[in-house]
Amino acid sequence: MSSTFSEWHADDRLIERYAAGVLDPATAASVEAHVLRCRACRTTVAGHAPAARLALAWSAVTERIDDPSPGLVERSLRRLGLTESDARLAACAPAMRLAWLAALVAVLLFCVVAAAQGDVGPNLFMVLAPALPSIGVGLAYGPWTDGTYEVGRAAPYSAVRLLFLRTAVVLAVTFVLSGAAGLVVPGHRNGVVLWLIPAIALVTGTLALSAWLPPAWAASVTGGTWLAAVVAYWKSQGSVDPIFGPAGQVAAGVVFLVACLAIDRARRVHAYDVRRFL
Amino acid sequence: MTTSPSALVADGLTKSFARHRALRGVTFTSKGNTVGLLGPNGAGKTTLLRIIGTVLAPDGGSVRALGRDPANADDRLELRRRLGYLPQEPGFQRGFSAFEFVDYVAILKEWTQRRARHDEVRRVLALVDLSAESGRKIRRLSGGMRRRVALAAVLLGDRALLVLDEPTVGLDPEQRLRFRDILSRVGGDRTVLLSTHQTEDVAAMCDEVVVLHEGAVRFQGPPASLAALAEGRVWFADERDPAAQLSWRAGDGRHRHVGDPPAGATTEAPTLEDGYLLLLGAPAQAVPA
Repeated sequence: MSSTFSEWHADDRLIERYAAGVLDPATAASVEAHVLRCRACRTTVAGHAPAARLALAWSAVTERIDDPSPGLVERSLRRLGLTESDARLAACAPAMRLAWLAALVAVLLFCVVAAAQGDVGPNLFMVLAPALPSIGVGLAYGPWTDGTYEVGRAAPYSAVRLLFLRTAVVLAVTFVLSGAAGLVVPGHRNGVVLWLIPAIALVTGTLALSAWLPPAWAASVTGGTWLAAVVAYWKSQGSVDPIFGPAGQVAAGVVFLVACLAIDRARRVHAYDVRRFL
Repeated sequence: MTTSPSALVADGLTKSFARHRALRGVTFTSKGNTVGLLGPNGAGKTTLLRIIGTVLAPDGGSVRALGRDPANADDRLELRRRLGYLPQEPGFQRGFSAFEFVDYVAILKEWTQRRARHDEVRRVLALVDLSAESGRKIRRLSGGMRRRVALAAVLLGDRALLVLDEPTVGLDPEQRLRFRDILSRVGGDRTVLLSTHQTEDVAAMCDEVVVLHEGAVRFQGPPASLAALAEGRVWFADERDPAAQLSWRAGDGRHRHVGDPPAGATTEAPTLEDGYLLLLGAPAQAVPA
């Protein structure tokens, strides 16, 4: 050992004990201060560093760098109790994209503003609100809306599980936004709840049809049928209120039950898993 | 990971889309390690690969891959666990980086334990030489790099069967060479089924070739046997020979002809492309290897 700093180097035994982490704190700090300034000793330390410990440290570093940072939707889903992988799959639904959410908010705002300015508004909200969740479900999964759809079909993850997982997320978001809009739509008593059962019926209908059709088609069928029927009634009667009366709610409940039976049947025969066309 | 002697068996596969008959009774049994599926546009290659990849159900006939029948739910699930499938036009989730995309596909492939999954994602990205680009957004990657990202997702896990639909389409010659190199590194004793328009790819990578034309198998056998179909039927001449079945002007200005050579013509050694072109130019019938 020389007396000048630039020529002094820690001996092998000291370096070895330092690399193994068995030095007392004061000596370790002293060696570390030197190693930081001395290239030769750094090289010697590298030779003594335990490979397993280094690999572990490197793995932790790369893990921290690579770990995808979850977006707002994914973080929210994880807070609600979904596993990390389920939250990722659900949050990637095309219907969770900002464009869809913005369009949804715009439609609801339009309904609210229209209602404030005339008689059309309350009816417009009651026509559109039940159809919006099923449109969201149609956009959540399928060959034309999900870029990874084909890769997903060839993967072991259950297609029906993915569809239902995304449906749940879409419903939660759509119901909250539509419910909030229903609270402020003027001129329609109970507007906040009357559309719920028809909306659930349309969503279950969409899910049932999705066993045989791409979900976007299924949503077009259910949403289109609803809109055509309700608008025709509105035109002829001047109001859509009777549709949401007791008879209408019972009819929606029946549709819901029939759709549930169809979903169960389709699931049993693996209809969601075997595609006849893309 | 050892695949069965007959890793792929198709028996009378049919598939129609509205009035279009995409497959008209495709039957073949493949024992090759790397099988090339050749055929012109609309031959039914993508439909066949989608059926083998369990993405699509046939209208008729049956298929067995790795000894599994995709029509059976348990077999289908087991096959999907051992399958890597690259679609013709792989889509990507918007806004994902290369790492995030492969990680997403890894979740679909049942890698639920995050740390192990991320290690696997890093492994496959390294296999396709994309470690340095793993954090880049996919939309900022070149077409060749995107193709490699998609290939990395295919390679996740210990896949016994790789089904690749036109993996080299849109790649420049250097990228195609790189792809061949990757495939030769990961191939091992996996079964690889790839479709392509490029006879060079088949000649370079495949030990077996299946030619599809108008939804039916026109040839099956080793690439050398396909080339041999044109044995003694390729010749050069200064002028185009109207009697030739096919002819085109080569780089040296002379005309390369495929067909029945005129008397006295000196024939050339045929390439795989010669055999393929001759086969497709011939009347539609299955040609034994």
